[in-house]
Amino acid sequence: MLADIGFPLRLSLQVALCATVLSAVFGVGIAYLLARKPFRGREFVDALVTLPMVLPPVVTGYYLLLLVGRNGALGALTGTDPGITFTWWAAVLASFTVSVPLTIKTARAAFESVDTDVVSASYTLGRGEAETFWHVVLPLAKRGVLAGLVLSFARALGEFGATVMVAGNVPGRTNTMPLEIYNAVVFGDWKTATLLVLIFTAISLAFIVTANRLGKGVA
Amino acid sequence: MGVSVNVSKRLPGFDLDVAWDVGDELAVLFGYSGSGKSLTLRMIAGLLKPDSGRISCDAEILFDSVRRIDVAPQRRPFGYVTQGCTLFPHMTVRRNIEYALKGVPRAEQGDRVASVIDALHLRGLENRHPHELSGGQQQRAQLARALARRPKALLLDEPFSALDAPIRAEMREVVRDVRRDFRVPVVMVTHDLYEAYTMADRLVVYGGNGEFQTGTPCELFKQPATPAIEALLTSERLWACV
Repeated sequence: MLADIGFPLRLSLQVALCATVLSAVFGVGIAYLLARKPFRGREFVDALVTLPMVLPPVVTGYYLLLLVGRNGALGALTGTDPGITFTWWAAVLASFTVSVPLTIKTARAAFESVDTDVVSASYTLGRGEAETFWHVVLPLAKRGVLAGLVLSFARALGEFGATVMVAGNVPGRTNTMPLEIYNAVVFGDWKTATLLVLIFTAISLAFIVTANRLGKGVA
Repeated sequence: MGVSVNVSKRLPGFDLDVAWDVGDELAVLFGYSGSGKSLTLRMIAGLLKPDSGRISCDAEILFDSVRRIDVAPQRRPFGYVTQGCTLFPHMTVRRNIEYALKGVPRAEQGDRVASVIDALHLRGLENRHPHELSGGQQQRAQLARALARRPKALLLDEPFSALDAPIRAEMREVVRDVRRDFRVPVVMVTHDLYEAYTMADRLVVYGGNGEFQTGTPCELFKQPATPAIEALLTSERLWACV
């Protein structure tokens, strides 16, 4: 018998989409600062935001638990329990944290490749930094930024380790596709596992091809 | 009237102390590569901050280290054109020019664009993207874009040095026409003596070692202030005559 795969599939897409929206705002913003603002400790910040890409996701998840858990730093700081653990928002947080480095890395390289003389030209033509960002820098770095977001989305979709730490594995609430594959295997439901794995592989392949085409400028 | 500069800037292995003013004329900054001519223009345009000093245009103070004035580049009244192509590659020639017209009423924008397109002989090229233009056309489009704002001075940083000789000659004419038709002061950097000599109403020579001399080309050739400036003008002149 095939278990219901509709919910995990929908939840995973929903979580990955939210995480990618966060990446588009914060990841692209951080990438711009890293690429264009020579502030003190810039490379340290870069290392810090890259860390989740290298750390085992379980370790990242543990840090997130320290941050937003029942006795977490955020709760202690505000005097309230943020109370997002074991909700699908926790899954969004976990997916975002683990996947945003891909956006930051790719978008930073794209922003750095925009000719600084062209950016200066925009300033001398009466346009401030915000306008220059929207009309010149972002359009010229578009492909790299999109490629980064596509990779982040794919990574967010497959997030397991950090998710299971902060969002748990609550059936009908936080059992995203990767968790459901694990559950299926644990319960010996190989048919469901295989189906989910195949869906996953197809989605991931599609995303890698898209990211590569964006990177090469043929999409 | 014109641009007045008196600034110092410490850079790695290189100190620049420079003072000159130019009026409503075509002024040429001349000297060896690396003597700080382009840096001076970048400081005037607001793209590089001097350590100390003062920069003004007409009566407006744009930088004053004592009074802590440092006007942002987007609020400085200059048209700035460099040697490389800085046209926005994702915009057509027309869009590039319109980009400079922020704050100009819509009704007036069309006339502004048309006037600079005519002045720089860009008719028929309005809908091309920069990569579809020749080097000379790109420079003309950059001049058009810089002029569209009605700048109080044009700052040209070796604007022709990437072009072939016949196109350079044509571009010198274009700049002279623009200066006359738009009644705009021009400050132009070059390391080509022929260009400096034939174009300048006033020459500002960067002699290196903190030596500067300002005057008409004739005055400077007759009475160079220092041996270094004489050497710069003489060696270049001999070369130019060969």
